[in-house]
Amino acid sequence: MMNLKKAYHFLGSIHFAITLITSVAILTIAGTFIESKTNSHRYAAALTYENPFFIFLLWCFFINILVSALRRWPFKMRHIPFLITHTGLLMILGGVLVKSYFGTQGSMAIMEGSASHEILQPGTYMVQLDPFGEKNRAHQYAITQNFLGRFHLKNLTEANLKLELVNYFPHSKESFQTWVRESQGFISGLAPFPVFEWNQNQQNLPISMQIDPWEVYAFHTTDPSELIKTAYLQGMKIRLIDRLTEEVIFQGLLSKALEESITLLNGEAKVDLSVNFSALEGLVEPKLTLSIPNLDPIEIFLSGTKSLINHRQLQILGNSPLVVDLERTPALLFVEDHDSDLFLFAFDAHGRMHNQIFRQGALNPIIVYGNGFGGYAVQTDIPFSNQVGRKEIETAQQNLLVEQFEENMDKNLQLAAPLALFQNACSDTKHKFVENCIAFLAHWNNSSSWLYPENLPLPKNLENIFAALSFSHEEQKACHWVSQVFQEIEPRLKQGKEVGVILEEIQWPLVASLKSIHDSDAGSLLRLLSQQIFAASNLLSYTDSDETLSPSKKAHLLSAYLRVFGIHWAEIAALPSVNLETLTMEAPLTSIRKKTSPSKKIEENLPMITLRAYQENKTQSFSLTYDPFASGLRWPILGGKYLVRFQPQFKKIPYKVRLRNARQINYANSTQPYSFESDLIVTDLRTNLPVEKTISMNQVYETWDGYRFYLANIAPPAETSVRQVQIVVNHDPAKYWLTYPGAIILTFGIFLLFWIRPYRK
Amino acid sequence: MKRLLVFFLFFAVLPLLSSQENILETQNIPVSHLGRFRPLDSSSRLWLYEFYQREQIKKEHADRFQSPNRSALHLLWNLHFQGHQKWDHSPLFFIHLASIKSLLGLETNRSHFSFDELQSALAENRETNLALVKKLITYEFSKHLLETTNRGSNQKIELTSLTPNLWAQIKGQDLVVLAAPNNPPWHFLKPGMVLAPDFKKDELLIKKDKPLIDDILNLFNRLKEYAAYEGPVMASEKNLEEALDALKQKHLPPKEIAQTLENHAPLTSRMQQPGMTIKALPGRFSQGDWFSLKALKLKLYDRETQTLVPIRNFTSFSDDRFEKIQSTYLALEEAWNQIPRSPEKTQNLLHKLTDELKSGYASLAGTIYKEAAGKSLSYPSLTQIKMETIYYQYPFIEICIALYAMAVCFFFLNYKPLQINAFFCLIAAFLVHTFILGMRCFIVQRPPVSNMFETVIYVPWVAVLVSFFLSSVYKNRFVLIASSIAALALLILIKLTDVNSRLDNVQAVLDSQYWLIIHVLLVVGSYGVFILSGILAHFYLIGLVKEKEETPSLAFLSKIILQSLYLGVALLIPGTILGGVWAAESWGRFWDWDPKESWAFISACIYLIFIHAYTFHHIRHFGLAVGSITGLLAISFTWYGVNYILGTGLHTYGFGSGGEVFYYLYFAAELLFLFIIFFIRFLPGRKLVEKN
Repeated sequence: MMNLKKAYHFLGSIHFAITLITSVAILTIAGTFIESKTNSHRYAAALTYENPFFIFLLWCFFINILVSALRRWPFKMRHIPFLITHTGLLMILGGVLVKSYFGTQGSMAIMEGSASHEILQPGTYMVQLDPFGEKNRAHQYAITQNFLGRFHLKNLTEANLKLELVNYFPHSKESFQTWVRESQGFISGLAPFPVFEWNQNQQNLPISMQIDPWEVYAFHTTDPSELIKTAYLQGMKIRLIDRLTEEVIFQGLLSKALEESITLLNGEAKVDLSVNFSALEGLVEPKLTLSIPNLDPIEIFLSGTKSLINHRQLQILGNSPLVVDLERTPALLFVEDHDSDLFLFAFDAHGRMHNQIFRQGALNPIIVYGNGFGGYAVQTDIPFSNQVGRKEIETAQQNLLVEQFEENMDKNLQLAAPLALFQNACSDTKHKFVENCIAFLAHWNNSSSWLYPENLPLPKNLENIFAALSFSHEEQKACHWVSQVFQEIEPRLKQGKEVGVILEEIQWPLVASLKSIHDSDAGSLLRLLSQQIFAASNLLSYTDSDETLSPSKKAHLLSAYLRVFGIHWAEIAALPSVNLETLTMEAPLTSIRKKTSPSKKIEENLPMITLRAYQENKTQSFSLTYDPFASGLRWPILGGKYLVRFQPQFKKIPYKVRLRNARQINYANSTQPYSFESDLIVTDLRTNLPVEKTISMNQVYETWDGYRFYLANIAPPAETSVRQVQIVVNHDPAKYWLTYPGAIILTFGIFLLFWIRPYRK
Repeated sequence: MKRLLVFFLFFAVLPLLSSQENILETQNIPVSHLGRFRPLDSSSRLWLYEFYQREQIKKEHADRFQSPNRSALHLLWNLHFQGHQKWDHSPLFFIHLASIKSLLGLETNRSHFSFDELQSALAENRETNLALVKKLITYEFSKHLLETTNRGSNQKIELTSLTPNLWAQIKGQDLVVLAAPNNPPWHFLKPGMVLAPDFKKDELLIKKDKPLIDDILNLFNRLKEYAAYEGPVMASEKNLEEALDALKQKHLPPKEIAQTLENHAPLTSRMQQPGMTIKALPGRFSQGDWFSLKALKLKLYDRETQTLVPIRNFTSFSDDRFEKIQSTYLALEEAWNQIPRSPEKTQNLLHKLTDELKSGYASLAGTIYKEAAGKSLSYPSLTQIKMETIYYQYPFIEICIALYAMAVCFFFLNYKPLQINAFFCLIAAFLVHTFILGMRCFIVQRPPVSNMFETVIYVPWVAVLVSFFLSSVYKNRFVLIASSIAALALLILIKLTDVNSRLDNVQAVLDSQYWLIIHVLLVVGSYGVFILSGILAHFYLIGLVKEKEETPSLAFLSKIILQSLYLGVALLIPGTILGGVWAAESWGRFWDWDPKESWAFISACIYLIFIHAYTFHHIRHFGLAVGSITGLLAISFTWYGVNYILGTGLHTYGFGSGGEVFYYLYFAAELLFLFIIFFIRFLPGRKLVEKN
């Protein structure tokens, strides 16, 4: 009895009170420093404020205040201030306790335009299990920690499925795998293929799989750009063809040609392949360059709309006399770098390149596949063509031109003079005008000279037409002079000289007027020059020779005439759209979880759990990584019967909140925010009555039954994109009858305690 | 009588302390600057301060700025009309941190540098450029790694906070550049360049480097802004003329020309291009958007005449007034750039311009220009504008310091007649002090407690106020001495440290008059009371040591200490709890052990421990004095330490850095003091006796 009384007195004693206040203060000081050091509020809280020992101290505090009050029984007048103060304190403590057991606290993230009636409770853990295809019938399993630190699974809903927590690990990293998983590659519908490790010295690459006609290569590497070049060169052949005779001049492996250069009749031709790859942008203008002695270099782009077309530097002179073609077995190349980013390349039979990047965290599109629900997949569409090569594109270009020309002919437009001349000859010899005209332009273009060469034989049809073509005296004179001047100019052009320089060399009298036109390219300067000659020709003398001109000579003169009008293949030909095929492939999307050492910043840790599910006679074990915003993918289990996600617990509230608009209002001429605001429509789900409200910082919406909606955060701040708003929802049933009155009573009590006579010191 | 004379003399001298201006005419033109509408004089001071860390050009720099007039206003007008080139050699740019200077290869014993010097160190010298840029990128990269959850260890990160298209990645042990833009200051970076060998993410380093990085970024911004100051020829307008010439050559119809020109150089972006200083023209279409006087020079393509014509009225002023302003301004610019400049002519035009702008503003003053849910912003009245000019022009805080210092001196010279002098000094100081706070309240229309500077002004004011009250109740001069010491120390402290003293807008979170008044005024007010009681406790302990036993006057002092502790606690605890109520109302939770909350709680606990122990006779006056000093240590940490040393939590609006060393010194000195006192007190044979 004595001991009991002693204990009672101790519990209500000032010693006990001071001990308690001191220990609570010391723990709190420790907590603030831990928080500052680790930058983690939750870590500090777990060690101090939320530690069971701390809670125990608070309860002791409660008891101490209570007993110390009871000890004063029977109360006297002088006890009043003490009682009032300490009642206030008890009420505040009680209010906080009531709220933590019966209140609601959580947040919801809503996008502009969408709505929600569920709040997530950050820092809680739950497994959400949705039967596939059935909405609103989710099973929930809470994961809680007991005071010994062990984790338990608690079934929150009825389910005909048993779930067991096998393992819990505090932090993990989840990454997604698509085409390559460790040492195997996957393409949906095909058997897995091996993935090799590649290092820089390896020149002959092993083929992982053959899908007719494609070869599939797959590698892990640290240096993707070098590997791509090596893979591209596997069995790649280069062919040089004479443009006019279509004779193959050279044929061999591109890899060899790159190393040794090609021996041609007039010297050594050098080949250069540039494949720049950046992990961010993919392939950057891959191209092949051929430098030939006495000729300007040829460039061939290997990707994009211009791919495979031979482009020379002096394209104004027409096509290069040499053509480069590539040929190889089409191949697919999967490369995984050491960041687990995956790059997919396709090289088609003509050497076109295509690439697609599957980077961690930027996987799209993701598709859902399978009957019912089988899982997720990534898809790729690779444009390619093993049929349409350079030659086919050129033919298509010619056909396109014919088509466009004929369309325009139907409009009865007046033809340019040289074309009208050619048309007359066609109708005289009963040849089709458009086709032959384009054929002539193409033939001229292939001759790779500014004007059609006098001595180049014409194809049969054209020869007949030109035989019938007749110039007027003026035309012939003008064309003759144009031809004369260009005989001087053309060799110099081929040496790579600039037009301005050439004009000065040949002492062209009107050079100043040409030079005054700034920003003109060589082509239009030359056109203007031929127009000058054409106009000036009537000042010059010319005697018609009696003998009739040869068809080739006439073609030569007509080409001069056409140049005056700016009509040349290079000026009028458009790029045809090439009909490429599409290779569509899919790979299952799987995730891999690795345990990583947990950070002290608990907020950043993503725990991983391993679960075992039993249903009827099926069992399945699986691991999940925490999804802190419940926004990621839900994974299928038990053959796709359920979808499962490891996420924070959520709670339904009786209000549906729709976000109409969120905005940040700034102070005048500055970026400092003046107000954050959101327009909400809050619908009471019990009565279906909507209420429109604008909430902002320091302006809260409170419903009649005490649910409060606070604006916590708006992201992103930019006006341009749809915004997401973080709304804190709370419901504190004790606020108005415990916490707030407690605060007032405490304040009042302190004043009484300090300054009212009976108790004053 | 003599005393009064001294005071009259003092106030008579006051106006002479302020600098003489010859363009004072323009000082009260309202302009939009840093989110508020301020008088031009104050804005120019703040503007200069951003660059130069002073509100006026230093005397020794006067010749390097080529002007005997050292006022910010004068320099601003000069730069406004003449462009920056003339001042490229003037030491305008203040750099505080020696680490930046050494990174840039600048002399560390200077603190002001010219644009040319910095430009060559930053944009032309590869070595210094890379040293700085590498530091910057490494820091930003580490920050990204820390801030983003669940990053892979070798992520490629685009550092958009610095500039778009700047990518970095950890390769092996090193941090390397993946891609970099080509414009300065990034132009020396090449893909593959190692930024930091043996890179490790380090949280402490980030905290440590933050001031450095902030200063570097700030310097970048200052350079960029400065480089945008243009003279009479504006690049944008010249480009426009050239573009028009080119279009005319193509013989396009006027409609198409107008469209192309507008796409090429939209008027709205030309009106807001960088370098547009002196925003004194209220926009017509969006309330609160103000434009620079330079916008008056912009040109527009006129379809009818097919030429460029001066911009038409875009302000909320009448067309008539606008035209007057425009023509005056253009004439003024011409006059300003005339060599030699005729002061009479410019003075005249300045006068005219000022008059027009001010009378234009008169109709706006007091009207609402921005509305938000439940609150609105309105233009300050002309009186407020005038007051702000006065507030910045006179060194009120220095005057306050001088008066408090005089009071302290007179108090300590224990000579009877001087005591009255001291009292008068203290009253005068308090009046100036009240005037400072009152001015701030009047100008920004809110209680003066929303940033560190304001609280440091407010706390000693509370201390002095309470000391008047206590001294009148208890008739004790020590209270007054204590409060003047507190005020003197704190006011000197804010002058020594570089706390932001601007009259600024309040943070959105704090913008709740009701709760701000109740919570912050109570809690911050309690700091003042606690400081007072802490100083009194020092007096008591020193007195106890001196007298070797408690004299009646010391016992009486102890009574005042107790009362001040009561008052402090009565302010602190309700203030903190009401802060909880505010938090519950605006953040959605009552109490969350946020560091500021925690420390308010800890301070309250410490005071409660000593008050309980005293009440129940476990300690006596000595203990109470020790408690008061211990409590003051906790309060100082709550006030300064949470914001400047811990630096975490939700009360972020006061965060900053700097002055840690002083704080640690203070803390150590206080502990040493307590230790010595304890040593003397409990030394065997030298017992100090307390009566009770």
